[in-house]
Amino acid sequence: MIELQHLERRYGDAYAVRDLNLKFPEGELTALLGPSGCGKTTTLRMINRLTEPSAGRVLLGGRDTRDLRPEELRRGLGYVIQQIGLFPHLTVAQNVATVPELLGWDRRRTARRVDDLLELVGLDPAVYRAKKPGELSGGQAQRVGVARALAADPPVLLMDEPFGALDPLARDRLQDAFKDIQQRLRKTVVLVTHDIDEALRLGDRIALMHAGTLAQFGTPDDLIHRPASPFVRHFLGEDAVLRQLAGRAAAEFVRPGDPAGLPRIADTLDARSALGVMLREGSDALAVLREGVPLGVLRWDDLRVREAQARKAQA
Amino acid sequence: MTSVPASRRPSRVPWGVIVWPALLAFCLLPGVLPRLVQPLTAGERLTFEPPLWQLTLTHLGLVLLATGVVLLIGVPLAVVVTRPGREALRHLTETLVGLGQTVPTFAVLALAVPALGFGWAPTLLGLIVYGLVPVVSNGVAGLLSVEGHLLDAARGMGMSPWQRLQRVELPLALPVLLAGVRTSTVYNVGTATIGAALGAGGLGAPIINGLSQQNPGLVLVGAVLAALLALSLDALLGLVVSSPLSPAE
Repeated sequence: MIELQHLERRYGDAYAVRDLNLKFPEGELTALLGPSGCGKTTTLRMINRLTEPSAGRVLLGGRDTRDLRPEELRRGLGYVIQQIGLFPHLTVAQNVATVPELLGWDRRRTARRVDDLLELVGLDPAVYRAKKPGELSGGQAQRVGVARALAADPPVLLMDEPFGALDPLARDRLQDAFKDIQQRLRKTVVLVTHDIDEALRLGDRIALMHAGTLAQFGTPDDLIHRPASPFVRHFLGEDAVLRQLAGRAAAEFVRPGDPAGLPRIADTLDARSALGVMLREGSDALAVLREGVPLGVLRWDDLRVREAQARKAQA
Repeated sequence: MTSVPASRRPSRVPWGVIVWPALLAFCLLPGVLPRLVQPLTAGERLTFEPPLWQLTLTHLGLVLLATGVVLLIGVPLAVVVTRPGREALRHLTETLVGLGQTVPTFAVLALAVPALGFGWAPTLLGLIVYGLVPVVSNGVAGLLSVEGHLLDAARGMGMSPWQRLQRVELPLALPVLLAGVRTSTVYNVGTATIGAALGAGGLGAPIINGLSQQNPGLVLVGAVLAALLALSLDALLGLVVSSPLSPAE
């Protein structure tokens, strides 16, 4: 879908991005991860030409993006930024309608689309349509930001630290909401973040950048279990596996079994916390309950050997 | 990130919009002002040719024409000098425009007369030079106050430079810009009285005649009407400026 070929951006003698080759798979979320100053935001901005590359090219569905007018290109790529950037003089509905209006949609189609999108991001249109951005909380505002980016149904979504300015609680909830939305819409998403947990939680794939170059590109499992360099291992940290478990629900690992006498957890608990319960209770199995009804059993071995299973499944 | 909901915003009744124009109209009724200032004119009843309402209209015309030209010059100027990479031009413009206010209007008028002759032309020139200052400086301040991330978002969504200006920058700069227009217009009501010395007519005429004839009643008639006109315009423009634009966060 999106392909970077020998992409480069220089500022004077310094390279922000150097000879970057990368293919973002269609319908997947790729996290552009890395420490600050690694060139991840510059890379994102070269995709929609907010920053022009010094060398190399960006292909979008096989077409060189330089063949399009920048405005035309950008209207086809959803864009979400950390500061949200809602226009304070316009209502929520008018903000969401920005790109459809630029594209000249008729009023009724736009109005319908705005309501659908507000529903999608979990905001009641009747309540929020006429509000001004100043009346929204940070989390609500970024929901509107996501709705605005999706307004013209672009196949691609570019997100620059979209949840970075939110408090931890709002961030968690919005990440969950966005994961749901992405599962339904299957957009090709490029998400810039410096937050390893976020990358592991949301990313189908992770492109880890270091000093303007690609350190490793792969699935979260690839980076955790098969780091390509000491930098990758060091950046993810010794507790990377735990971080990954934190992003998954315990229910994903449940197998049928006899829950009698085992410590109980709810199926909404994340897998890392479930592991914590095992350690605390001195038990290597837990009963998982959905709304009080036993769902099955979660075993220590299942958490541990998950990786081996994944490899087997791929083979 | 909190703001007062629209319904709870204090709704000030703009009394000035009714009171000042009404008072102005009352004073323009034939015979009202001359009778009021009679104690100052040693019992003599003043008569005016042209009548007071005509002087007031002339005055208003001068001011509005000047404001129109100020907008036509000032707004595009503010836009041009606030584009990225034009910082030097912006500083130069602010200095030059600021000069317009430091040089006394009377001097501008005196210098303009040899070039433009007497009448409306030099008066308008003086009003424009003087009125440009608040419009340009507020316009520049308003446009510069638009936050960078909003422009980034606008650009990232595919707005052209013109669309960004029209849909984002100007609407957000508007409250500050209009405050400048209000200041400019109100000041110029006062400044325009000097135009009478150049034969442009208006409410300066009774003031100047009063001064030369040592008739405080005449001076008062011109001054009261000019003041009421300024208050009326200020109140009317205040309606536009405090229109329910949301507070920018």
